[in-house]
Amino acid sequence: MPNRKLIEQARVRHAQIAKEKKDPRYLRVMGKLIQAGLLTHATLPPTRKRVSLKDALWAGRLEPRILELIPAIVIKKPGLLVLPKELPADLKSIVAGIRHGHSTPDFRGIPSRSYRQWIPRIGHRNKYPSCTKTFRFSRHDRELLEELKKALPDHSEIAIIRKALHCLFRSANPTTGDASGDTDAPNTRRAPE
Amino acid sequence: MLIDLFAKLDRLIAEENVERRDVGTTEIPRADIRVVGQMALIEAAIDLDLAATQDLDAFLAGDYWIQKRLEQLLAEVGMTFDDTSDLIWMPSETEYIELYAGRFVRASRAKVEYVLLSKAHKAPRKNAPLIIEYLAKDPSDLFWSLVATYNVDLQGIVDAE
Repeated sequence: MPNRKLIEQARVRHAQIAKEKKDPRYLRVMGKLIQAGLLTHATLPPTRKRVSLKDALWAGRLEPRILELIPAIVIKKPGLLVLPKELPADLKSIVAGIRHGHSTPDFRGIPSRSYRQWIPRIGHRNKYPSCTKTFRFSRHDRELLEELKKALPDHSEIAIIRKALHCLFRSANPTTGDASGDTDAPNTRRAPE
Repeated sequence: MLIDLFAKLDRLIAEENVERRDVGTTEIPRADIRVVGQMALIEAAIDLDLAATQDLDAFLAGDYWIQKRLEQLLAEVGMTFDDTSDLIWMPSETEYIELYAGRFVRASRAKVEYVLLSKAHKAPRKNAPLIIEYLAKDPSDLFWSLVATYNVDLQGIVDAE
């Protein structure tokens, strides 16, 4: 049965939220993300002006889908936002985690799965950020790489190494398919977006 | 917008099946698409301030060929199909309202009460402003009964915001 007290509390809180949604910061951030084709809204117009990360984080309190997009924007399309010299600590740690392929915690109430799904969808499609790993190659390894480069003139050294990794993966996992899939696939039932 | 898209998908399947019949291969069977999530709310034209990301959450029971064509049609309008939609939790008793019934495609959307219940139950913090707005607009008895059945902490959502 309807909880009248709860409805009254919700009305008070909703009035506050509705008032805050008239703030120019919210309208600018929403407009920018609509203009970038990342969000849709029935009534808000798109805007071209760049917006600051600070405003986007503020607006994200009112529309959590903004927060959901922020980590992917910072990594894949940073030009959309005016970023500060130093990212907020929680965002910085999440961005570093994504870049290095580590698991990451919720971001201001947004589950990791929800914000990570946007990484391959923003900017270059189906691309995850690459990261630096350092290895020491023996002389023989380098000679092999040189030989392969001569045999495959269209390929860079990293393209050859990636191809070799994929070949090795496929031969070790003949039924799994490609190695390039997202290994962060969720394993629990979730809410709709 | 989704109805036009499903109609287009229906025509594509019909054309593909004509070709398959000509060469004697298996035809694509009828597909059932159940839209959930934010798009179900938008299609319902409910009086809520709805922003949405450009993806379609839907349960698709049909051939993989259909999923690929649906993805292409969505891409043409700047959208994507969330291919992890089958992981979305919806109440087992969810009712669906028909959006499109064609020869090869039948599409429906979940009723708003079930979508909002799912959001409140599985991702309360992310959906708090939306749930609060819905509560403020006096939800239906169906929503209240679902809240009781699934023991959803609405007070926690209102207090946390």
